Amino acid sequence: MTKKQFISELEKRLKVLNENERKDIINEYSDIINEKVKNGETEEQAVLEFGNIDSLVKEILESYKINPDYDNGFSKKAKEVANTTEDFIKRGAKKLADTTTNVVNDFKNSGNNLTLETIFEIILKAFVFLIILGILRIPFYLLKGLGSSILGGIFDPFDFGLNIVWNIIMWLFYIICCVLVGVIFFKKYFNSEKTINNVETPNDVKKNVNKIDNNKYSNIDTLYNQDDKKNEQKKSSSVFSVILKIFFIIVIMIPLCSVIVGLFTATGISLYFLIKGVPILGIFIAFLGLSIGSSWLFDTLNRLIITRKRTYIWPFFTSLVITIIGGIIFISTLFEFTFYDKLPDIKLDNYTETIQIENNLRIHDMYENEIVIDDTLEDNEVIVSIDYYSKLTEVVKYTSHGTRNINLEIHPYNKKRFNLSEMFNIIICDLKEHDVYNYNYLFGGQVTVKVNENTKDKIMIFN
Amino acid sequence: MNTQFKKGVLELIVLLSVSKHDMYGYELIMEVSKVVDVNDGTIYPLLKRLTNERYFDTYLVESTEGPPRKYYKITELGIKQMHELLKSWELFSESVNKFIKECKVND
Repeated sequence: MTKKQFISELEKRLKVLNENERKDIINEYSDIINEKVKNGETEEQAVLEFGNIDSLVKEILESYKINPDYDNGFSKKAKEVANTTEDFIKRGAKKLADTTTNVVNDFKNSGNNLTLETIFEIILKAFVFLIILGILRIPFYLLKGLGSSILGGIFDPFDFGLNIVWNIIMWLFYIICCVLVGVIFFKKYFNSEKTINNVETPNDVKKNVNKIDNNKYSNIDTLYNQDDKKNEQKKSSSVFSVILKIFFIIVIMIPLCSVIVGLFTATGISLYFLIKGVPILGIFIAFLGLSIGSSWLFDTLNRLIITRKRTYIWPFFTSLVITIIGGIIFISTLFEFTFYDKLPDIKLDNYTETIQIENNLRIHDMYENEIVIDDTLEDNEVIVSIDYYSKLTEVVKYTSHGTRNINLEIHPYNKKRFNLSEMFNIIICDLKEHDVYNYNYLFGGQVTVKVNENTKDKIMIFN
Repeated sequence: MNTQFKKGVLELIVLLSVSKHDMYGYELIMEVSKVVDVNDGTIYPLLKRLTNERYFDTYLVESTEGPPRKYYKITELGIKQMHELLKSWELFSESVNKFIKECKVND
């Protein structure tokens, strides 16, 4: 390559630089070639002595901290992606290699914490841990059953909601117990950072020499700084602690997160109802306590295991106290409630029909019924009068083909949107009055049937 | 000569050279080649980087034979860096030499 060719090639590849810089560089190289020629070399020789022009340009651009693979358009993006992936893979491979080397090294220096004995110790502990978790499940399961039957006994239509709450509480305590047991068992394996080897072995000198190679123009820190070596060993903590931490995060922290979100939502919802006038102060306070408690738990676990900072115990007691107070208030408000096993005070609608029956008349979903004998009626002539709540349900009549029986049923009316808000308002109004009714009755009916003596036996009424 | 070693000490050699007296590109290449054999092309990027890091200042001198020539002059910061590198080099070569001696004794 002649001087001209070299210079024009350089110009082309250094286009990314601004004009002054580029001119500066070109002049410099041009100058150097001129001097060499003055000293008897040919242009070609001088250019050859610069080496590979690609690496030359790369180094020039790197001194401006410009990515030498700068390109326009799609090829640039593709190169970026390729580079990132390559970097990622390189880092992964390096990390893997480093970890393996560390494991092997730890193995060799059997004074450290990764002996075969420790591995078996961990496996056995894991088994025992799982068994304990299973056993721990039993009391909570029983408690849960006890709780739901109590709740079911007291609040029949409500209990589905409270059951869910009770479930959540039970699971929460169960998780707390599991986590505490787990921490007790496995805490010592997380303390791998304490085993730092401060003795300068022959390996260290080699490491330092290698570091010179990696930084092309050597950095004083790498040669001189011994803290660097310590940091390297701190970072390369035992393989197990990393695996355990990841396992811990996936299995415990993430579900705990969702529980916390749920609790805060419940707190918000109960606050909303509280503002609307429903007397659930106790529930709100209890949820508040639980939310604080679970957040504290999450934070404490985080501090204990991941970041290693101080933990505080006072929020636990605060939240416990708050929850208990909330629970007490809730139970005391319970006593203020009156439970009526009947319909709330609403207007019912009526469905009346005179039916000619062939075989039997079967009436379903009735919580009250009455059969009146009226001998003025013909045989097989039936007058049916059903009181039901038409805003939520409708009466459906059909004939079964086989038996020719006539059936009357109450079905939930299919306007769902209407359903929900209606129900809501009724329940809320009643709650404000400290009254709880048996809302199941809204989905049933009361029937009065008039027949003559002969037809009486053909009438069947069910709940 | 081992390339790894060369790369490590190049910055030190360049700083030392320019600290003796101000130099221009080609002159520096000649100076450095007395100590280590380097690829001429890599001198300039190194100079550029050291200039960007304020270890060198540059100024132009008119030349009768062509375009103005750029001279490199070491700064206060550059002198400081040079001493740091010298110190590191001395410590480093000392421990390497000591270790070599120990290994020779055990032979």
